[in-house]
Amino acid sequence: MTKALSIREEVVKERVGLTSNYAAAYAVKAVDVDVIAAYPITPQTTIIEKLAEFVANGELDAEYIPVESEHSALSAVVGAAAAGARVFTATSAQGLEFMHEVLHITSGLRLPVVMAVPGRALSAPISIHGDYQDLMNARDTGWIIMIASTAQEVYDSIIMAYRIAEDRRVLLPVMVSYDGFLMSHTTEPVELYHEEYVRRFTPRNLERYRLDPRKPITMGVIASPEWYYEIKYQVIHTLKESKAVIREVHEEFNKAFGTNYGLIEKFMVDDADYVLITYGGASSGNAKEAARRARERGLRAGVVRIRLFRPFPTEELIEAIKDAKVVAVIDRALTPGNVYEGPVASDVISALYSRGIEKPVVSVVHGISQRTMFVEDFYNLYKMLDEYSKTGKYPGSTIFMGLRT
Amino acid sequence: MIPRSKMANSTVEITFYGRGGQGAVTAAQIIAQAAIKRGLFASSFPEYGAERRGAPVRAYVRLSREPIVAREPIERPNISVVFDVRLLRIFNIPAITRDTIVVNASSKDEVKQELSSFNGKVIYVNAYGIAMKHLGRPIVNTTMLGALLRVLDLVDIETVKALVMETFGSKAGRANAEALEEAYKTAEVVS
Amino acid sequence: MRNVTWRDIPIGGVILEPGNARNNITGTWRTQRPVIDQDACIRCRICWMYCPEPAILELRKPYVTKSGRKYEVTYEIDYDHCKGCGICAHECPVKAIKMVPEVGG
Repeated sequence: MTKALSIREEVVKERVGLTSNYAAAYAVKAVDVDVIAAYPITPQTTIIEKLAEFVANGELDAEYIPVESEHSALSAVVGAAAAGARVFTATSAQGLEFMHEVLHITSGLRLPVVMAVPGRALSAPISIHGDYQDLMNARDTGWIIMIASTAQEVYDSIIMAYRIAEDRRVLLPVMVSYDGFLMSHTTEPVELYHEEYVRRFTPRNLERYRLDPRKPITMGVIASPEWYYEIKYQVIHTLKESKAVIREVHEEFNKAFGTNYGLIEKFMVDDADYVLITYGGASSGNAKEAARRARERGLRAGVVRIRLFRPFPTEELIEAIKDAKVVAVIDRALTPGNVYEGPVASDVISALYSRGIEKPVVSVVHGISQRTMFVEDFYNLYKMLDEYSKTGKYPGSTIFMGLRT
Repeated sequence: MIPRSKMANSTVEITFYGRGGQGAVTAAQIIAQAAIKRGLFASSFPEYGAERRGAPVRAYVRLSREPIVAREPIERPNISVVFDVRLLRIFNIPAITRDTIVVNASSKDEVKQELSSFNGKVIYVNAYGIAMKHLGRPIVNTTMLGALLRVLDLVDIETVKALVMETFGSKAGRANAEALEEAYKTAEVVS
Repeated sequence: MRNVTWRDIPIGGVILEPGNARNNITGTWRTQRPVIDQDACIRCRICWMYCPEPAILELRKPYVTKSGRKYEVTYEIDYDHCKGCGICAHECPVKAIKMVPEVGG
């Protein structure tokens, strides 16, 4: 009698060491895209170099368009997606800024573009190093945004992204972001799937308006004030409602590939008094290790990682932190001049307030331009939360960790 | 400094110290990939300074039987792999290394002199000479891997050699594998 | 239009019926209308090419001028869509198109 294979044993082809950038390229190959257009920029470049290699070697049958700028890269895939192609592009930092107007156009035209964004600091001063300032500047453009924390998760998320983007109930572009350098250039284990399983999970879904000379339609029209608001509201409504589809795709992916992804990730939170809310690989990994240390020293510490960033996982997040005494949000990005300078801290406060929950939220900024984040910093943060909670005195403004003062 | 958690204590941390262009980053990646091939968990990442030829660079590797969550630079490596004896002082390596220093130098005496204050294990290899002999160029990364394998039992030499062949292609790969093999055999435990 | 809600509109502002700009009667925007003098017109087609709308109609309609010249086609204005921009009059090489005020003209 033969023992039935576990799902992982069945779907996994090989376990290899890959950077998150290479993991992204392997996912794009596995879903069999038709058109890739991209322009090199650190730390993204090795994704499109790998894809260029796949296309040149004949491992991926796709049109590869080397363009003259990021603005053109996204415009080219917008055109291809409008004609019904499955497309991919990737960028970081100034490249994402240069794409910015086309980001709005992509979501406004309801095109299922998928893009990888290893996050990076913005100039000036010039920095090639990682954080999430670029992503946060792109958050209000109507895209679905996922933030991964391991190379495996980058691979899996890009596969899921195509299913989500092309679902006729969604038809919105998806960004898969992750730490520039700290993930994009870190080699770690990735289990690659037999491509037939990936392709079965991501059948081409062409149920959408497409440019087709046999059945002409007009895309990219000017909308007078009588129409613009309604068309924009469709995007707002669909982005919010897409959460149900995203959850459904996660559940199906977990079933098909034996994984355990949710819209957020919870680590030791069930009985936690002090919870750090994080996104990305370095913040989350170091926070988890700090939580273990803190628990070994008697503090009930936990971590919630935001995996789906837009639409914001309000219910999931509140359910996870409702019993915590204090939460701190670790932002590797800035919103200068706001009440708090940590952008996601404002999101968390707004989520709590919207449900009538009063809870102390501490805003922490760290890891700007890859300022080194140590596990010890996060451990110290748990101790600070303990102190705040005991004294009832909370900092009314953002804490800038790692800053020389 | 707060002690590491129990889980982190099962992790072996290695730092490669080299100069831009010597292949420290590639060496770190090969070790990580070799560990992953054997079913272990590994994470390897370079320090991303301005990567200029000749400038001092560091590349990090964590190896473990458990999934690795921490993503911070390695401050106190178990093993330091030093591509050039002069880097010992630049990075204060004897003071920060927990267990073992693997060092490229021109003589054993030079190593003894530089590491007189270090209490851990020291492996000496004349990587420069070996690299010049097999590759004709002073690129010592694969040679240093050979010396490292003398003290690292989590990965095996055959897997590493296969990865070297894969990384450098057939001709350069064979020369690098030979350099690795010779360093593995001739590396000496000094203390 | 008040009753057409956001739910009723094709997503992405897509227009499903090709050429339906014709339903938009832009002829009401004019303050001046072009008038073609069919006897002066030499059928060069320049107005037809320049008209941005396009609101110059090229019709298979034979015409004999007062001086006895025979033409197979006639150019006329589509007044439902002509916005009165005057480009045709400006470009006409023989000044056969005049702009006439819509009110009091």
